[in-house]
Amino acid sequence: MRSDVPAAVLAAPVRPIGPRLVLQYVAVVVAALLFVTPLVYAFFSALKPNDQIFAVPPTLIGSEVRWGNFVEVFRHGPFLTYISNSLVIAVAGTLVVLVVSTTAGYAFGRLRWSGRDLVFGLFLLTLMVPQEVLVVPMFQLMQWFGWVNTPQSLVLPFAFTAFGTFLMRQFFRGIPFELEEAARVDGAGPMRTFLQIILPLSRSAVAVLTVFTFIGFWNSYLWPLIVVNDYAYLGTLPIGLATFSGQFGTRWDLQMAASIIAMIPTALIVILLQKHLVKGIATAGIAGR
Amino acid sequence: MTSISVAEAAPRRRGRGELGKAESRQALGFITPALAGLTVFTVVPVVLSVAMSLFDWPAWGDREFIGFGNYVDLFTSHPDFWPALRNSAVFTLLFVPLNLVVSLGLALLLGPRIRGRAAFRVLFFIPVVTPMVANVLVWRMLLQPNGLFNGVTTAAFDLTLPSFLNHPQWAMVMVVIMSVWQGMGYNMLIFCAAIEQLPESVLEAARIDGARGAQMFFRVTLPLLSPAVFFTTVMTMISSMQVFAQPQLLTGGGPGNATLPMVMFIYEQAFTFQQMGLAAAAAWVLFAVIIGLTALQFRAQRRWVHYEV
Amino acid sequence: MMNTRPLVAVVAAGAAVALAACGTPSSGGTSSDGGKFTVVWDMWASGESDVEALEAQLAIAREENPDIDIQLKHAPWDDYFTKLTTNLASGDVACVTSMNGQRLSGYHEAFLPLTEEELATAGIDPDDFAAGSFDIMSHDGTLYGIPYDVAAMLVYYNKDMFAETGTPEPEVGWTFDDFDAAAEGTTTDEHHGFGMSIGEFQWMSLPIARSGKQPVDESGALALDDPEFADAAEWYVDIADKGFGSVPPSAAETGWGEQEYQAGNVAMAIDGTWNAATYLGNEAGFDAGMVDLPSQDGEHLGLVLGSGYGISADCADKEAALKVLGSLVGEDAQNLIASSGRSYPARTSSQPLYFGSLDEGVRDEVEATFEAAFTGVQGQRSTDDWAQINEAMSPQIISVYTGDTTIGDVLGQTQQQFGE
Repeated sequence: MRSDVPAAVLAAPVRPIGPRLVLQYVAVVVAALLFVTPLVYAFFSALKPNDQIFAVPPTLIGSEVRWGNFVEVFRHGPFLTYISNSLVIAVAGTLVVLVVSTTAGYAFGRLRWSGRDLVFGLFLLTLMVPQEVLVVPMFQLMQWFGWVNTPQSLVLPFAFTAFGTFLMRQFFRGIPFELEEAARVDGAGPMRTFLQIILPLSRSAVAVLTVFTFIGFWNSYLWPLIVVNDYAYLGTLPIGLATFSGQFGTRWDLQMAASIIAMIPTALIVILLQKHLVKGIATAGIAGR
Repeated sequence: MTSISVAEAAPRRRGRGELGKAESRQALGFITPALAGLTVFTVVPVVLSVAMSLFDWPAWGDREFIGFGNYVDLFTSHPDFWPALRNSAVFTLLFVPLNLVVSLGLALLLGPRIRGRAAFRVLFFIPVVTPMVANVLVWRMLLQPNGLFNGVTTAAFDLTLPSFLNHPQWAMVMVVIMSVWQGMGYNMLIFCAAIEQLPESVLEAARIDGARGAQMFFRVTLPLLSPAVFFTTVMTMISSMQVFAQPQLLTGGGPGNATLPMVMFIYEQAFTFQQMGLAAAAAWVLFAVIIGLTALQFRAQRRWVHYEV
Repeated sequence: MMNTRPLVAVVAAGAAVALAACGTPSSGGTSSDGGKFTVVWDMWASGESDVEALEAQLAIAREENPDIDIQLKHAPWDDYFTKLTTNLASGDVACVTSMNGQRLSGYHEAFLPLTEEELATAGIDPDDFAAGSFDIMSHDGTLYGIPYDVAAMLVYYNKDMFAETGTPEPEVGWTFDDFDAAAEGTTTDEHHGFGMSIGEFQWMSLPIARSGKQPVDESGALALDDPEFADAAEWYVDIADKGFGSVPPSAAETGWGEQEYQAGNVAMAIDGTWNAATYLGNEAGFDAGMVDLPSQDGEHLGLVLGSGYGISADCADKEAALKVLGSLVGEDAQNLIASSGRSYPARTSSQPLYFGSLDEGVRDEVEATFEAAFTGVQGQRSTDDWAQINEAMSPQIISVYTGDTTIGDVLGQTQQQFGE
């Protein structure tokens, strides 16, 4: 648009709004609309009378808007129990993961000891064993421990994955060594440097690990399905929701209301913490660096 | 990274000997919780799993050592095992490329000039973090015979769609589409982060050299993004070998066993059919497949992944 | 919002009860608790109303056994047997465990065989119970539990759809030809005449009734490939092929035909007597009718189904458990479930109360239907892995409906896989 050479150089910073950008906007909006349709339609279905959910032609809003469906869900299943169970288990599990991952990550990332790389390699090797492979023997183990249908069986077995350790180690290694060295020279032990220097500098990585771990526990489906016997006591939201769907297969209004209710907490977390998450993913090195 | 580890290593060389020993002890303290946990909850189950796979190990009742009987049974006579392996492979082959193309495409679309890109990113990320069961239920409603998809095509074009979830091929396609919709936001965020970290100097140099459009993308941008592409490929592949909730709740593994993947096979053998030994053996086969595929990826990596210039 | 409060309280109380039950190291055993013995009763329940009904029965049992602390533990039907297996594996079976007659064969080892001595302890006289009902809870001639209900499969129909299409309503004693005509007559562009199913009883009842053959022979061997049964199964599948049957949209929809019926989308479906009250009061608002299974050549083979309570073999205090069992199938508890219309009780003297619970307008029709449905019934035969056979077959039957395989192949393959 201006003369040839400078235009190429300046292209990135001050490109004017051209047809390409308009096209880009259109593509983004279309993609977003397509993408969000299932969620929006599910939300409005949750507000319809049940017999209008599969009306032909489909409508977004039924003959009446029934906010009461969201209340009725709680009348048809122990959803409050499910929610509080999920919350307690996710919080407890996240705490365990944080403690384990940061301490081990520190040992691998900042301390020097013989066999470190070998042990770390073995740690990473366990990362290759997917949860799905472990569930069968893990269930047998839970039986031997007498842990079937107990809260600890939902928290502990999968709280020791090497992923968090790997993540923290990668991040810790990126912290300039001089910071720690100075403290060491002043006589601070590793515990103090860990707590007072390394951890505060790693807030973003810890935040990312916290959020992802919490979400992982909150959404966990296969393991609770196996290890929980008494849903009214220890049912979590995902298995409660699946059961609810089995029992009230004809009540799509309630199924959708329950699904929306189940989606809200984690969706809110992501919306509220979006900046940290995006930044965290970039800095914590999940991006494959 | 590289520069840091050099800087890190340099001052440490002095501290060999006594200091090193102290540090080893301290490291032991830091590592113990993780080590103990991994031992009890990973190493022990792994060993136990090997043992179980060699036994006729019912959920309750007498166990009997049968050597490789479970493996032989799986490969030679079990009617659902090969289909399950095939289904996992088909799912992976469809899901991984589709997921990567869509997520990378969206990440590129959501460039710095798009206003509200942060909001869009979050939007695409939401199904990643909402419970899978809820996501699947939503899709199950959409895919009902009178659901939204069929309703729209019937009303608008008088076109009746196939009954997707009880059609052997469509059922798998729908499981894949639903999974891409649900899971691609994660890779998209990774690509967004990677794109933002692209070295502006290199891009600019390429522009000055006259690189444009597709050429720019395939010759410059994509190679620069290749570490991220590699990382997401490996992770997505591993996760797609572990697919469970989507087929279990959307199609029940059917019709027949057309959408029954390995993990669902393992779950059913262990907890529905009560053959824990057989399930453990199947789990080892799955593990071997995952390891093999990952090793292949890492081997191929040398040829197409370009690490930091 | 206000009216959710009591609900929250109920849920919380339920959770607390369950928590107490599970908090004890071995919820299956009995333990001394302040001089009281604890007996756990494990039962399936789907939703709030089921739980409330169970709690009412629990109250009766508690009242009748003031010296025993009785705790209720429940799981949804869909998960109950998986969870029971888990409990068996961890040696944690509740002293009083509910069992469905059709599943008993796979679990009988977990139960205490009941002899006259045990029945006396529980205060049970077999003569008080419906003829044949003890067979439901027996395996190989040994009694493992006491039935609390008896059930048979019925054809439920939507009277509004029959009226709308001018199709004559089914009547007790109807034939398979009448059924074919009804399925065809009630099928319109708007709705199908019949809801196909993949659930065990729901799909198998018609082929069994038509062929007069059970898929397990008298010797207890699997006989899915019996030619007469296979022919009848072929006929069943043809309902869908001819376009009269609504086909489940996926193998995940295990209760399709019944759900479609309940939602008012199909004119007929097969389901058990246990759902009669639910359908009569359906939320979709249609006029529900019911009739026994059709007959073929004047023959009509129906199966008597049902559930009951057994005592776990490793229960620590069998005497206390037996007393609780006696109360749960006692006259008061049986009267309660009958008069609430929840299930058709096994105790003969309580059965009339069931019909009394129904609307006067439908009472006679239901009573006549039940009478016909429970006439000439056989106990269902099953193999030890019967539950697994059905789990394996369900998703395959979907493929039959969609024409990707044939019912003959499915029956043959399943026979081959499980037949030995």
